[in-house]
Amino acid sequence: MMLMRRQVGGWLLAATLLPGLAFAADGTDTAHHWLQRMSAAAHQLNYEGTFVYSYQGHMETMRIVHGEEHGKERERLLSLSGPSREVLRDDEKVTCILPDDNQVVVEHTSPNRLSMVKRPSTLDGLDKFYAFKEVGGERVAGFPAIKLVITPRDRYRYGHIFWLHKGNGLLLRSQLENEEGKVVEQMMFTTLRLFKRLPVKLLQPETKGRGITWQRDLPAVAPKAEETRWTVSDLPPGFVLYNHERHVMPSNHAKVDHMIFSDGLASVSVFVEKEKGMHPGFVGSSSLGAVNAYARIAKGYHITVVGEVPEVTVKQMADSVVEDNGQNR
Amino acid sequence: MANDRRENVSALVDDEVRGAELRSLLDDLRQDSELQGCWSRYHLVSDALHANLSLADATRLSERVWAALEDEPTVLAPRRNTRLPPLTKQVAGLAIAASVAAIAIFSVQSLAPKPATDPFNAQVAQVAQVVPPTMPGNLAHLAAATEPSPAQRAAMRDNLNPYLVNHNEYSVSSGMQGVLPYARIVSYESNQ
Repeated sequence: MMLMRRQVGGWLLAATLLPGLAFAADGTDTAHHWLQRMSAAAHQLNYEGTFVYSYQGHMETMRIVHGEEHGKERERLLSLSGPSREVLRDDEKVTCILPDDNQVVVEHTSPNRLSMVKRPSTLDGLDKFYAFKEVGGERVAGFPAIKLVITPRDRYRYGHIFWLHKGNGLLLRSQLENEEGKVVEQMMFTTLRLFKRLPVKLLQPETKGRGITWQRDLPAVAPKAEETRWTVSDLPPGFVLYNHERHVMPSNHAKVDHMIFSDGLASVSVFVEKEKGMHPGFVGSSSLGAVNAYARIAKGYHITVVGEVPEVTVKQMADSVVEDNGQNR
Repeated sequence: MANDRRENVSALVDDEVRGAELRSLLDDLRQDSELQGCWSRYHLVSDALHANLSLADATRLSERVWAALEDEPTVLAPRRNTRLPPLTKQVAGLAIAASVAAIAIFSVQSLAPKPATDPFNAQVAQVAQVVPPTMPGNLAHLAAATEPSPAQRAAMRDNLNPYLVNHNEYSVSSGMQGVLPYARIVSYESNQ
């Protein structure tokens, strides 16, 4: 009886919110379940694997090692094609080793980051902006996988297809489609080994750079009350502010305001910093596979918006960044 | 001649044969068991490339694709100076299944003009070369059209890179999508 009432409630809700799409209710529940599993798997599993990553006609092979112990995560990503590059990450910092530039970049991450990235995603609002469908099973890297098709309901976000490990929910393959339905980015595991406990040696860096320059940034701080604050006045529907803090960039010690907006699936970052007189920053649009960036200069500030969303989304947000006069606080 | 017939079958899989040619090809297909074999293998390859194989079909996929390849080297290796069949465009453009990815690299490199110094860039250059520039909606073409000048690129790197790292560090999807955000960073670094 309880079950029946809940189902009826679900149907009514779906019928009200999504006229003509009432059949989505069932698929959506399953999809939410799988997205939650995917999110948990990304943090909790111990694994080592090789995957192919392709975008805009480029194709690369990379190796990933991920381990979790006592709630702490460690991760190592190594490029196997082209010049060797390596990213090491734990809960406190991320280290990029780039031997071509003879550079190691270390970014310390703030406690905010952890709470953001590790908190369960809010999936409830997603149905308004995406349609979910689970379609059949396929095999990826030798493992049976379920295929989840996520279609955007407007032009402000991209479509996703996720192939998830049937047993543990790990993302085995992903495809991102732009507003024209064209694939802009793909990732797929070709080999994957799962461990109960990760062998420590797998996390040791392999890349050796010469004459390495270390760059350390300073910890992020919350903006002071008297300093200029920023807000995005014309947010595309569904995007909400997740975090706002001030970074000090390692390269030039400039203070940068960083706001993160998300619709629960896609994220957009808005950066605002004082314009550098000597070296004018990048202005205009740029795309890097799935990631679109748009930058402009307003009132002596350089505004850069970056996110795995269509150009229209980053542009609308960049164009509507205004000083927060306190009314929105 | 047999090769021509196979190419016709490949075109038929892509629904590109019309009129009298279609009728004659269908007649041949009815009678020729070898051609029938081509027909089913090409469908398998096409399905693999379009990633709509069912679980059952995907079992032993790589063996079957390789077997098909051994039988049909001329179909998957892009021909010069001729319009590429859509199947080949797929191979040259985006590789999907792991086995198919290996095929893409193999077939593209087999007609490599001259290796450049950077192996990664060389591979990209070759991919770009075998893809006809006029093909609408092609990803390689898209990338070429929006390719910035070296000076612009340097400026973009200097300015966007720290932002990109920061964005990926904090983005909500980083929490969900595992390796993708880092793949984006590492990959952008290579694209200088």
